[in-house]
Order: sequence, then structure tokens, then C-alpha cells
Amino acid sequence: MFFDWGTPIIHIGDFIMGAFTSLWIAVLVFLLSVLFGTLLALARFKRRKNLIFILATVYVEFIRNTPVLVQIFIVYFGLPQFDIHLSPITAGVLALTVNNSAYIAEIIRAGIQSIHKGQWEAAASIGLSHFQMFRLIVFPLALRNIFPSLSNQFIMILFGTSLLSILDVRELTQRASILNSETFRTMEIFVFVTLMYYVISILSSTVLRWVNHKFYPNIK
Amino acid sequence: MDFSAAWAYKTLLLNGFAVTIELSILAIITGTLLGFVAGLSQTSKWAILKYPTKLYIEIFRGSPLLIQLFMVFYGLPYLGIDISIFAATLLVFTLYGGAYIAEIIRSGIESIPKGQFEASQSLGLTYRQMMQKIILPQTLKVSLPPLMGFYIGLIKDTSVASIIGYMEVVKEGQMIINITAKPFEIYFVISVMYFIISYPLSLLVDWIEGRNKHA
Repeated sequence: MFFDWGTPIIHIGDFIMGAFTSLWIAVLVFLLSVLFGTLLALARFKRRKNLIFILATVYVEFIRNTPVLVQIFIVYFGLPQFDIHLSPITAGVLALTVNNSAYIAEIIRAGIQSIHKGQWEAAASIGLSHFQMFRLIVFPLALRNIFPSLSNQFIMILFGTSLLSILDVRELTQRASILNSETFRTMEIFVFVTLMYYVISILSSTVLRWVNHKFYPNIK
Repeated sequence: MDFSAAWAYKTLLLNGFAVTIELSILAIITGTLLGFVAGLSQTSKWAILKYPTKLYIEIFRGSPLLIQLFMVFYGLPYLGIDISIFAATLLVFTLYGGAYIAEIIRSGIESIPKGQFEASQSLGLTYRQMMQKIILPQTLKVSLPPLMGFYIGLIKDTSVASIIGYMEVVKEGQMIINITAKPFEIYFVISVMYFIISYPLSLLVDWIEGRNKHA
């Protein structure tokens, strides 16, 4: 039994291409999820008995309590029954966005609720409109508190993209599987790619910490 | 929408879900044991204990579950180690769960004020007595909500084992879909099964957290 680390190293270009696919999908899903998650958080901000609150709550709770893999399958294999045919990459981005919006909605909602009532009152007293209060005061303050959680969620999204390999999206995991079936250097390839994911997640965390520091220099 | 196919195969789906629950419970037990050992090692002074476990935790928290499953399920036979799909799956979920649980335990221990350790030492307690009687009981109270949260996540994560062919509920559903050609309904029923387990547990976590806050 000898190890042949040459196989994964020769194909590193292929893996890096896959890593970039994983990364841009993750970034796209993250941005869409923050957007949609903010809307959901606003819908769930105050316990109102109106339809919007109830719908948003049902959505968030159902998504957070069912597996993301099943959600991916429903979008990709289930929707064609209703004549909605999506490409693997579209279905993957949609399913991951549907999933992560619910998680990010909860993070943002907790962030908004952590803002002291005095901030709202102070904003009102200097004559800001409700939208201005939110946009200029409350949201930036909330973002500061939840930046670590959001960074963490980005890493979770990055790992979630590996599930898209089953839809034949050519991201990092899928490329590893393809190379495995061509060369049969199983252990070397999967260990190598595991370490690659590790390096990517470290780099992502570092970049996110740097962004955090740029925006909010006064916190560690 | 036609749920008659799902209804016709309800026994198979329920059996598949029983396998999901069984795997979850086993992985929670083994993962918690490993997580406690690895988490305690993180607070230890001995480098020989601390750094190898740190490396393990970093790798298993720093890569996707699916690639870990591939590495063990396809990789071990490649090394000439014969392993059943059940053993491979349980091993991966133990290692994966252990890494996350270790972090929860470590941060729980580190949240205990230093005075508690100093007071234990000044009473002349051994390390074991200090941990057993003073530190871990307090850690457990702090760590219970995040631990439960992780367990709920783990139940959902077991669905990923279907990709390597482990016959839990999602894999069972795929077999039924191959016969009935009703993917939407079958997957929807499966997600409702997960919801029925997961949602009450998440309410329980919220309740425990609320109770801790007021205590």
C-alpha cells in the first residue's frame, strides 16, 4: 500500500476551478439570503396577528426544521411535476437560498431585538421617519452585533454547496468524485479535498473578520 | 397533488424514519462522549492531548459532512479496511458530531468564572473532583441549549447519509419514488416527518433558554 499524492496535486487546477464554483455559489446564496432574510425578519419583527406574520413564521419554522437535502430534492425533482424545470445550478442556488433565508431571518430578527429601545426613541426624537430609523440607526447597530453569526452562516452555506454535487453541479466535491472514478486514488483525493475545504473556510473566515474590522473598527 | 402513493408506502417510509431516528440517537450518544473527551482536552495543559485533538476538531468543523462521508466510506476500503455502510456512517457522524460538541463543551467550560477553579483548588480538590463536582455541572447548564440545538441539526444531517446509500428515510423515499414517480409528494411527507420530531425539540430548547435567562 503506497500513497500517491501526485494524483490530487497534478489535478489541483481542476480542484481550484471547482473551489471557485463552490465559492461563487456560496457568495450568491449568501447575498440573496441576507436580502430575503431581512424581509422575513421585518415580517416577523413584531408579534402581530396578521397574515404576513403568520406566513413568514410558518415558512421560517418549516424550513428550519426540515433537512436542506430534502429541500434541494423538492426543488430539483419535485417542481417538474408542476411544469417548473430548473437547471441544476438554478435549482441548487434557489434551494440553498430558500433554506438559508430562514436561518438568516432568525439571526437578523434576534439582532434587531437586541437593540435597546432608547435607540429607537432617540431616533424618533430627532425627527427621523420610521424607515430612516431602521436604515440609519437600528440596522447598522444590529449588523454589528450579528456579524459573527452571519460569518458563521456563510461558512455553513459554503459547506452546503457540497450537496449540490448530487445535482451534477461541477463544484469541488463533484470534481473530487469525478477524479476518483477516473483515477481510483480514493483516499488521497478525498483527504486532499477535505483539507482544501478547510483552507477555504479559514480564508473565508479571515476575509470576513477583516471586513468586520473595516466596518466596525472598535470591536475585536 | 396526489398523496395516495405516499400513503400506500407508509410502512416503508415509517421504517426508514425509524432508521433515521436510530442513527441519530446512536450518533448523539457516541458523538457526545467523543465531544466531551475532546472538549476537556482543549482545556488541558498537556500539549500532547491538546494539539492533536485541536487538529481533529478543526478539520471536522472545517469541511462539509458529505466529503467526510466519502473519505471514510470510500477511503477505508481503499486502505484495505473492511467496513459496513452502517459502521462507516456511524463513524463519520460520531467524528463530525464530536468536533462540534467539543467546541460547545470547550466554550461552556471557558465561560465558568476562573474563581470557581481557584476555589476548588484551594479546597484541595483533585482535578477529577473539581471537574465532576464543580465545573461540569455548571458547564452543562450553560451548554445544554446549544447542545440540544446541535442534536436537532444532527437529526436533519443524517439525511446526507442517503447519498452514500445508507437506507434511512430519504433513501427509502428515493426507492419509492423510483416506483411511483411522485417525488414532490414523497419528499414533502418525509420533510413533515422530520418537522414532527424537530419542531417540538426546538420549542423545548427555546423554553430551556428562557428559563436559564430568568434564573
